[in-house]
Amino acid sequence: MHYFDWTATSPMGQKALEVYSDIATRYIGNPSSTHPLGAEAKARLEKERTDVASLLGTAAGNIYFTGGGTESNSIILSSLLNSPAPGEIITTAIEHAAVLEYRRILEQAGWKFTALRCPGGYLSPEALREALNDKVRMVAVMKVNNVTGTVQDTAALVRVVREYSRTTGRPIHFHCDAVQALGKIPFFPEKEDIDSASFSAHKFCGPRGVGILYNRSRSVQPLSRGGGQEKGLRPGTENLAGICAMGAQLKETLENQKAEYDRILVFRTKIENAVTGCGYTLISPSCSSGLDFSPYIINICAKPTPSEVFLRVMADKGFCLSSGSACSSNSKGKAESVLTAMNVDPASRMSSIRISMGTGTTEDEVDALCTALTEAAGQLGIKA
Amino acid sequence: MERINTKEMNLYLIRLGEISLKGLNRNFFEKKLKNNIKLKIHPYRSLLTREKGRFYLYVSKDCPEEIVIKTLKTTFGVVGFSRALVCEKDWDRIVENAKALIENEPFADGTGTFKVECRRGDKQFFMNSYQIESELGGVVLDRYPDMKVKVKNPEKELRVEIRDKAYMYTSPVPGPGGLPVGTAGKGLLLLSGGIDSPVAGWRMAKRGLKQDCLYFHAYPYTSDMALQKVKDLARIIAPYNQGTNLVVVNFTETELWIKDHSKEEEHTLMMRACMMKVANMIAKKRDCKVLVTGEALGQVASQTLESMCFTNSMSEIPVLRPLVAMDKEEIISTAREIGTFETSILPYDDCCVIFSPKHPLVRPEVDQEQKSFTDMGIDELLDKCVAEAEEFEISYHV
Repeated sequence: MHYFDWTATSPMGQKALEVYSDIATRYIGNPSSTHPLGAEAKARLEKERTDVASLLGTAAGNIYFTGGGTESNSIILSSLLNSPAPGEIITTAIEHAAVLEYRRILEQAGWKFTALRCPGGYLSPEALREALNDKVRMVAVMKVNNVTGTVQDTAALVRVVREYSRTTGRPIHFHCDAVQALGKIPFFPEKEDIDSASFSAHKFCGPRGVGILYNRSRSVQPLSRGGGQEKGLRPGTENLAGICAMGAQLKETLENQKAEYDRILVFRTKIENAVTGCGYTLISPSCSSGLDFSPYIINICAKPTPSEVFLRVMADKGFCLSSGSACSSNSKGKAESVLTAMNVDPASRMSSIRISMGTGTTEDEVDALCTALTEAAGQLGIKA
Repeated sequence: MERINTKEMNLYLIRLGEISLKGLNRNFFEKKLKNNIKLKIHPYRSLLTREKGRFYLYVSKDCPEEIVIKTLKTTFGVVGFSRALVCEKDWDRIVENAKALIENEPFADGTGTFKVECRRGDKQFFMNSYQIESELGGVVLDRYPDMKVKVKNPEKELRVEIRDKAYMYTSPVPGPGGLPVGTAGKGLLLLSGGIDSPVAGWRMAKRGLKQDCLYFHAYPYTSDMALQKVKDLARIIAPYNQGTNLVVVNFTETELWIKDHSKEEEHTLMMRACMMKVANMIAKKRDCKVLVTGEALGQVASQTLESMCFTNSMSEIPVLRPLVAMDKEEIISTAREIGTFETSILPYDDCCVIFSPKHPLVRPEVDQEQKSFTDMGIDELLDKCVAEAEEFEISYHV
C-alpha cells in the first residue's frame, strides 16, 4: 500500500525509535522521585525541555510536555472554565474538533463561542478585527488547516488582537493549534507574539501519545489535578522516553525542513497538474494562486463520486487517502464542517479527498498516485 | 439403535401452543419441532418425548444449560419451557430438588409472590397435594423470607407432579411461540442492512416459513462493512430460521446501468424492479415459493401503494410483506427484542447516495414504469447477476 495520509499520522522515524529504546532502557526512574535514578531522569527531562524550547525559539519555562495536540489544546481551552466570569472566545469554523468541540462545554458555562467562517480557507485580519469586542478573552486560530493545508497569517492576526487590547486595556490570550505546522513550515510562536501553541509528535514521525504545549501565560489554570508535574499544567508521570524521542526527531525534522519542503512542493505541483488535467477540481489553493498553503496537504474534489466510494476505489488500487480529518471521518458530517466554513458547495464537500505527504513519500509513489487518480477519474466518470 | 439412559440427562418441559390445536396433521408439526430442537442441540445427545400436550426434552448432562436455553428461546413452536428435576418418590429427595430449583430463575431474586402447586397422580403417595404444597411452601419461605404466598395469579410457581416418579419444575420461561420453521415451506427474504427486513424475516419464520436471504451488494458504492453488517444480521436471525443461506448479488453494474438508462426520478423504482426480477430467478433456482420484504406501507417513496403495485407487477411469485401495517416504533421494538437493532443501526449504508434521486416518483403508473423497465434493456445484466451470485451458509447453531 502507498501511504498518502501523513496528516493523520506518520510512522516513527529511525531516530525516534533509537532514542526511545535507549531512554526507556537507561532512565528507569520516575522524574518525580528523589533518589538518584529519579534525579537522573529529571535532569534528562529538563535537558530535553531546554533543547525543544531552543528549537521552537523560546525559553524552557514556556515548554510543557503533554499527551498530544488534543490535550495541549484542551489545557488552554478548558482553563477558561476557571475564569471568575464568562466572556467570549473567538475561533475559526475550520479548527480541528479538539477546539470546536469545546463550544458546547463553554456555552454551558456561559461563554460565547464565536467560530468565524473562513471563505477560501483563510481568516482575514479585517474579519477578526470586526469580531473583536470587550468581552473577548481568547482568540484561537490554527496555523495549518488539517483538511486543506491553508496557512493562516497568525502574525498579522496577533497584531490585530494586540492593537485592540491596547485600546481596551484588557489582555486577550492568543492560542494557536500548530499541530500540522511544526516540522513542515517555519513556525516560532514567540516570535509571532503568540501566547500558547499546540504540537503533536506523531505528525512529524515522533511517537504517538506525546505532544508539546508552548505557553507563556501565567494565568492558565488546568482543570486536571495530580502530582504537580509540568508545573501543574499537565499532571501525571512524564513519558520520558516518548518526550526524548520526540525531541530527537524534531531536531532532525527541523534540520531537513527546508529541503523537504522544496521536495514536497515539487510533488504537490505534480499532483495538482495531474488531477486538474483529468476532471478533478482543487479545493486546496492552487500552487499558482499566490496564497500561503502547506504543500504537504492537497484537497481535491472527485465529483460526482462520494468521498467514501472514491476512497474504496483508491484503496483497491493500493493507496491510502482520506476524506478529511481522520479523527472525524468516523462521524458523519464533521469532516465536511471545515469545507462548509470555507464556503465550498455541498456537492464538492461530499466528494472531497485529502491527499497528504511526508518524509517517506517518494517520487515513484507520487507518479503511481497520479496514474491511479487518472484511471479512477475515467472509471468513475469524474468531471469538473 | 443406541439406548439412551435418561437418568444421565437433564430434563426440560416444553409447552406447546398452537401446535396442540392442530388436528390430523399435528404429527407433522410436532415432528418438525422435535427435529428443529434436536438439530440445534446436536452434537450433544437429546431425546424428545410427548406426553399430555407437552414435550419432555432430555439433554445429556455435558451440554451447557446455556445452549439448551438459547435453543428453546429461538425455536418457533416453543411457547414456554422449564428446567425439571426428577427423583424417586422419596420425601427427602423431593425437598432437596425443591431447594435446588428455587436457587435458579425465576425464584433466584427472592422477591415477589409465589405458590406451590401439586398434582398427585399416584394416589398411594403418603402425603396429599395440600400437605405437599404446604411443606414445600415452607421450604421456599425459609430460603426467601421476603416472598409472599399468593394462590391466585402468583408471580412464580413451583410445581410438583407425583406420578411414576416425582417431577418438579418452576413456572415456565417464555419461548418465542409460533409454528416450527419449515412447516410452511420455503421463501426468499430480501435482506438489507436496515432495521425492517430482519424483522420481516423473523416474523415469517415465526409462521413456519424457512427462508434463504438475498442481499444486493454494490461495491465500491456500498462498503464491505455494509456486507459484513448483513452477514451479521443473517447470523442473528439464523437460529430462529433454523439456519439460512445468504445469497449475495453483485449489483454495481446494474445500478450504474439504471443510473445511465432511466430518468432520475425513476432510479429507485427501476432498482426495486431489478431486485424483484433477480429475486424471482434466484427463488426459482432455490425452490423458494414466495419473496419476503421488509416494506411497510408509506414508509418511503418506494413503499407507497402505487410503488408496491409496480414492484408486485415485476414478480411472478407472491411478495409477502409482514410489516406492511406496522409502525416504525413497533418494528424497532421487535428488532430490539430479537437483537438485530444494534447491528441494523451501524452507519454502513446499503445504498449509495448517488443512486438515490432527490425527488423520486411516489405515485408511479404500473404500465408506464413497466415500459421504462423494458426500455432499459437490462435483462442480460440481471442474468449475469444471478449467474455470478455468491452464497454463504449460515449455521442454525445458537
